[in-house]
Amino acid sequence: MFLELLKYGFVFGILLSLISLGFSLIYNILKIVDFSHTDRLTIAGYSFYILSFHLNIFYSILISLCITVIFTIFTERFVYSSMREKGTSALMLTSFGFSIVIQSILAILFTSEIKPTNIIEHAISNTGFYLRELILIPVSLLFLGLLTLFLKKSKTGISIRAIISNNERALFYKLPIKRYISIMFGISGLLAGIAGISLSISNGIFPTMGFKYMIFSFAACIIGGLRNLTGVVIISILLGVLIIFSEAYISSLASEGMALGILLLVLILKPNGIFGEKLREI
Amino acid sequence: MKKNGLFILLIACAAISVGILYFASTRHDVDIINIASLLPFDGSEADHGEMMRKGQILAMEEINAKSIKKTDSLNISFYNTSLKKDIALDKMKEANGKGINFFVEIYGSGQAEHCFNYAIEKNIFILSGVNTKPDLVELGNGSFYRIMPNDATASKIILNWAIDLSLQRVAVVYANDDWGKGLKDATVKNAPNYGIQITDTRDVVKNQPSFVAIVNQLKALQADGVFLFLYADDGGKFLKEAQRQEFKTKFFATENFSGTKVVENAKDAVEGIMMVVPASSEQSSLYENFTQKYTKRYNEKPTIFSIKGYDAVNVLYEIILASNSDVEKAKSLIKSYKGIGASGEISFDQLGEFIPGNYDRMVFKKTNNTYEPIVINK
Repeated sequence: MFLELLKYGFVFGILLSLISLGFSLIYNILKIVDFSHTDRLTIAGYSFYILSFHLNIFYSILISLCITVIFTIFTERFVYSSMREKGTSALMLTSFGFSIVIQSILAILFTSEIKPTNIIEHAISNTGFYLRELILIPVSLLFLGLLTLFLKKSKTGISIRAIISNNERALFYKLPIKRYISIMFGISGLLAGIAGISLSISNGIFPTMGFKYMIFSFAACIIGGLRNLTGVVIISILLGVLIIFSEAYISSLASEGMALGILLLVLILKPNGIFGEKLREI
Repeated sequence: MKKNGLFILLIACAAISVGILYFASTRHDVDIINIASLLPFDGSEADHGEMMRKGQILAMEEINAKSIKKTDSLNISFYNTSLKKDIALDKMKEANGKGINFFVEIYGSGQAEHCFNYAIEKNIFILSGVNTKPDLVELGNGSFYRIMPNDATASKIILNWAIDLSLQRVAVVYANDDWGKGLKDATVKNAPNYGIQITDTRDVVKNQPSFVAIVNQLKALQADGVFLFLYADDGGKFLKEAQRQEFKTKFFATENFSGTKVVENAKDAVEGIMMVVPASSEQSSLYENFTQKYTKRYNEKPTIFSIKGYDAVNVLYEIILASNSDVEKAKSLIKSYKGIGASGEISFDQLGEFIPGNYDRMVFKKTNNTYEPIVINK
């Protein structure tokens, strides 16, 4: 039973790491906690839900991911960009407000009822995993690896890291900051899209489906150290395992409290996160 | 001077017109019997709210088709509570502000209980078709009645079925709300009298993200059966997870699994699930008549929620007519009420609590490419 819980916790952690990474990428580039990030899961979920009734699963996934990425880039271009000069507080409030607007629109259009998708899944015998999960694990790990390579080795990635570490210097070198911000948003949208489609198949869709994951991924980002993407991934997986164990041995009510409890503890003992570097002016 | 006179005349005409309009509108209100129904039309229980509304509308239309005098016509004002206590109370106040003292439903035991102080203060009469919390009638202190057996009865019926199947060790998974806790408490209290050991109780939060851990732990306990006191969404997801983890045991559920939602969520994992539902008098012409009309009108089969909604409107209407819309009179009349509805015999004890009839034992089976609960015996 212990090993089974560990196995399911790992899968949950992988899913969480996709969301947390997107969260962390946006934080690093804009220095804000983007409250509407988990609503992109919802957009992906609803897109997939609608498309899956008309197209085969492959095209449904592909088009849903495209919709989510385009939606995320549009959000940045048309909602956030105009607020960027007004400071991080204004941006954070905008993201909070935008999140509520998205949820309200979805509730008006589709009601707040949970809508299960029409995908029927059966666990692959002797593994206890659904095919979706077996695909999700390598795909997620591949994405995480590619993202790290992209940020470390590619010219664009190095430029993005330059923007992350010092925005003013990036401006001095005339780096196309707006374009790089859009790329980062696009990547975070893609990661959220993958997680959103998986969640819509397992749990169904409803307008506030991203809320709980915002709490978990926010906690994972802070605990892992917002600037350290590897740290965020490791902590997300650990948090996923811990959540499953706390639900098994304490209560279903314990998961959110536990995530936020650890977050508080880390903030008190290690304010920059477990894997976080000490923030300093460059 | 002439201008002033004309102006005063215009004002007077306007005032008289407004007066006539107001009089006409209020006369219209007292001409017919106005009652209110507070149901959830969004959120996790929206489908049950909709089923009740359909049943209530059908009852209203039948009553209005039969009523000879206009004063005997019925109008139901529907309010959406979103299954929230504060909204339910606000809507009750809003309806009461329009002169409505009779309510045919406040969906949800917790929502109804939240309205009791106001209902008692304003002398409001509530008749519910679905609320099951055991002490609700007592707490309502004369303002609340129901035509649904309370959870204590439902728990005994489930335990009886478990005994018939020789189960000895049973686990309970319940929704962490007034209804779920009420049913769990009643079951834990009653189980020893049936020689059944409750091995574990597990609460579930609304829209639980994952059932992996709960199913895993219950599987480890190797219980003979699991009682699922859950709503359809979460119940469906639980069953799907149980199927994935190959957790094979006997699952029992209540009327919350009525409708299509549990099947939509659980898909084929719903097969074989046992459910107890207050019996509808399937042999009676009333039931047949209702089922035919309902199916023809809505193109779907009625569930316990639509049947109870239908019956509650009919019972309340009879009580209102007999009491001449006097709430105090209605409160004393309902205790001696005896009638037959589509759901079977309806009567109340001296405390105003519904006297329960039979329950149906149902099992989900595959019919016509989908899964439906089939009555196996009463």
